[in-house]
Amino acid sequence: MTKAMTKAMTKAMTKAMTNDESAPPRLEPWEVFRREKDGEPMRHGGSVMAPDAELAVHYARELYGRRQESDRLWIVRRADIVELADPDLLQPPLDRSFKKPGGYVMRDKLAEARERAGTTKPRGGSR
Amino acid sequence: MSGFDDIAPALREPLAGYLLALADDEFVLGFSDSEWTGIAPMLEEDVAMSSLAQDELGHAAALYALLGESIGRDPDAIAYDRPAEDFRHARLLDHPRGDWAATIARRWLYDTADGVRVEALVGSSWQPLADLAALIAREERYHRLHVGTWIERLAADDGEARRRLDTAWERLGPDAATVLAPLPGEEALVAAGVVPVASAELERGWRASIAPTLSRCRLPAPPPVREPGSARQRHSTEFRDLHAEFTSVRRLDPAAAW
Repeated sequence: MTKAMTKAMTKAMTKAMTNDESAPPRLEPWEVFRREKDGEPMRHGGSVMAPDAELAVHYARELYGRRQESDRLWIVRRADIVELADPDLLQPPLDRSFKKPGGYVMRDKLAEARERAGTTKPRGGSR
Repeated sequence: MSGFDDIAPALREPLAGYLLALADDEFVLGFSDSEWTGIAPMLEEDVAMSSLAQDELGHAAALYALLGESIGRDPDAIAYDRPAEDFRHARLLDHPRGDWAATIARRWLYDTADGVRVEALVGSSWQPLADLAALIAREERYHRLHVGTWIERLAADDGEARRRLDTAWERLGPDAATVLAPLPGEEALVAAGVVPVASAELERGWRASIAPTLSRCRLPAPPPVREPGSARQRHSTEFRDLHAEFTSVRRLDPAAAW
């Protein structure tokens, strides 16, 4: 495969999408989410490069499903993902411990509440 | 499965020949396409083409196993211990390799013809063949989807990709229908329903099924096969080289365990 040939192939693959003679060859990243089996959540598997949704689906299938390791894939154009990575919003500097369940001591309060309600502690529930 | 016990003696040889042709087609195509591993146009396509090649080798392994069980022969021996001239794959698979557009053209012509053939075999009166064909048909659907996507893209180009596709088409087109050329003793197999549809009828179905794509891609319909009697014989120098390659490891030590 010569470089010229690769370029021609990419161009051919791109044309259907862009319909624009002057557009440069464009492969773009697609993010692939996969589910291992029914009942499991969709998890990010990785990404593929493809010129359009059709080939993105094919390549996602090959890279994340050809060994029967997935029973469902979501293929999302990376450009369509709305990203939030602002540290002021996600990692604010002040103490946030009161926003986490670990910030409270619940055990005694729960025991008191159960006593008042006349119920016992559920089996196996130690928290 | 119990070999050819439930097959009339007169049908055994034609059926063995039919299975061998099916298996050889998948094996030779699978091996040829596996040569792209590591050098396909882009990483994703490298994985995709290698995966398709593995699928075909898987189909070949299953078909050689079915044949081997039926005639009491080791499937590996059938695949690797025959001289090149005893292979019965279609002449379409005998052409020089190494050009991506030709690889796509070869695969598209083969997959569309093979798809029609395999889907007919799902109705075989011989259950082991019907069962295997049903499994193969499910995988071939994706092959046609993928290679169909590629041929449309190559055809839509107006530069080098289209030129290479046209060149490949001129070379491969005349041999495309060899995949569906009648096999020796086929009439008896068709009469018994072991092969549910005769080759001539399969070829008509195939031509009708590919017509819309050909017209969209501005590609001429493949001409009728020249010398259909040798459609699966008298293989090319290129195939002899390929055969030397895929038998080389086996020849090092035929008794080795893997």
